[in-house]
Amino acid sequence: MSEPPRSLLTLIRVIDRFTDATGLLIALLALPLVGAVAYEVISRYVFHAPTTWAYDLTYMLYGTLFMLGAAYALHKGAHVRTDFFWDKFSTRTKGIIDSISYVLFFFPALAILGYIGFGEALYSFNIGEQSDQSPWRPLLWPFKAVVPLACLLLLIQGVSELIKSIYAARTGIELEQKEKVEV
Amino acid sequence: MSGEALIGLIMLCVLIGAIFIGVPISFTLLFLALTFGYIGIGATVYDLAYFQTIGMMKEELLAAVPLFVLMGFITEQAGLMERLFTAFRLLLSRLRGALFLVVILTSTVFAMATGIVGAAVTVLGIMASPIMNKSGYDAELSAGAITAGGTLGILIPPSVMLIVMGPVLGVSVADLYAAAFGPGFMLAGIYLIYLMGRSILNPKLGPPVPPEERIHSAGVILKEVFLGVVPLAGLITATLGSILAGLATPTEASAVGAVGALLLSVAYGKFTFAGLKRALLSTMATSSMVLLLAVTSNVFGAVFARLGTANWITESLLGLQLPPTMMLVLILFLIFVLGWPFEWPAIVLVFLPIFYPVVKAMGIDLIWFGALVAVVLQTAFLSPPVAMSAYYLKQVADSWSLLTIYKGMFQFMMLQIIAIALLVAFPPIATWLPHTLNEAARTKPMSEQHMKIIEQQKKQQSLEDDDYGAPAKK
Repeated sequence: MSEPPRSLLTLIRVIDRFTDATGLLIALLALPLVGAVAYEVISRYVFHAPTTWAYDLTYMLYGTLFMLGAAYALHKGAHVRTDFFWDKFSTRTKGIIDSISYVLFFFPALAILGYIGFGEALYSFNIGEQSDQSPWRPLLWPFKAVVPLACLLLLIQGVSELIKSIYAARTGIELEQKEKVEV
Repeated sequence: MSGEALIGLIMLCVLIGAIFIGVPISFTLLFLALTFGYIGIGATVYDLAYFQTIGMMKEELLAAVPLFVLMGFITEQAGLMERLFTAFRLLLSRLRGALFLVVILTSTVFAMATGIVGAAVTVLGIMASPIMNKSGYDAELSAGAITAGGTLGILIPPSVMLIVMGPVLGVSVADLYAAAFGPGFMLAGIYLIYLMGRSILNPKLGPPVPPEERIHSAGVILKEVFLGVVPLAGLITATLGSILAGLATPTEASAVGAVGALLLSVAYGKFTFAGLKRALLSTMATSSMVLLLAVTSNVFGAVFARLGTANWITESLLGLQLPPTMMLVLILFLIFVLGWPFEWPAIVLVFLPIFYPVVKAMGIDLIWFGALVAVVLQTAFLSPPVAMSAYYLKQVADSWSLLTIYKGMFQFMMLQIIAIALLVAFPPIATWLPHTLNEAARTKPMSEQHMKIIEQQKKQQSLEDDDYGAPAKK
């Protein structure tokens, strides 16, 4: 088998593009995060008039940014692994290990966390839960919905990664080269 | 040892085995915590996992991680490191070993504007390695200087590693930042002494920059130094200074730093939307990796503690009856060994919480311990054969073989070990600044408003009183 079936290639491409597009949108959240904190700093230290909303908004944007960004990080191969032996493995071995770890670890763990997170978000929505961190008291369900959504995005990207690693395991060819992320 | 604690111990062994093979750590941690947790404590583990996740997402302090990473990426794209490099090079070109000096100075200053390692090594590799080759600098020493200087980014504030370490050790990030300055500057000093010493003894290793590469007009040099160094120095002072002075939280300072970096990039005419997009995406990938690992390792840690294994390990280690210094050296050695295969996020988030109770129980100063761990982990970046900074440098400096880079790094690893020994022998290197700052804050006269509030609080009942809820005594 030199070429994977076209349908699978299309699936990989669609998923990767989806993650790239959503990833860019999510990455933009860093701008309002900078804005919210900077605004609070100026209004507190310069005008002595702290806002009621900045604290809640800060952790919500930060939490959303890194949780939803996890799928993009997966796509870019950013999640840390130990390269002690890894670099010496052949592409096929890497593919086999990855395939097993996706099926055994990745999908079940995220499905469970996503399921629990969905239940919590739904409950929060039904009772109209509000934040108790500041007088602004925003509704909490959109923030709580981030957990199941992050799991969903990760699971979607996981399908693409699983296909890539099964292909690598069967043919010894890497469909994409992942760079190491800067830490 | 109880059965549950044994389950936890098996969980830890499976984890170590699995990550040694090379599976992504985050997802493995989550899966193992859920599975072994379910066996040990039943369905409670699901709630535990969820509350750890949402709790981590609510840690406002950790918002400083993406913000400082963003500040670093924007500063890098604004070409500030190139400017620093050029400015120092023009200034120092007459000296022997000038380029070594320039590399270490540039990376020390840049380390105060970035919280990670990658960018510094990459940019220095691109800028410094061609001119070092051309000027006939010793390849091993050059590669060592670039990698060692670059790794200062993870140690010198605003290090992202220290932000993540603060909550793990239960100490304030501001204290850790203050404690990291001493060791960071001491290391830079040790590098300089070593490099200059060797180039003075053997001028062939590091000759002065050739005259045709120098600029002789003092005006040009002054202008370049002013434009290249002063604005960045101002940004650094504002950002780190406000944290150290206790004026701003790390989160607030990081946002101000990011805005400042953005303004500088506009001022230097280097701002582009494509560049901003790249910075945002890289910021998200890096911080998502670190913080998702923080979430999953917290879930793992909660299950681990709940099963009683954490206690068991603490008691067993304490049962060894080692004197505190021996125990400290043992733990640092273990962290150093772990630092070979693992990257810092895994060590700080997964293994440090296992050692932390022992260190605390022995009464070791946690701020000093934090600084020591930081230096040890920075050393791990320089320890061949698995070293991230070699990887970054090799990508951009093709003329040097991996072996040359390793040989250079190894010399600096020895310097690191000297630094660690000094830090163990003389704790004030790290603890002097935080203690002085705290002392200054404590002795500062309080405003009357605050005094009034404290007086009121003293009169009121407290939950900590034994007779809370009993009618107040007249």
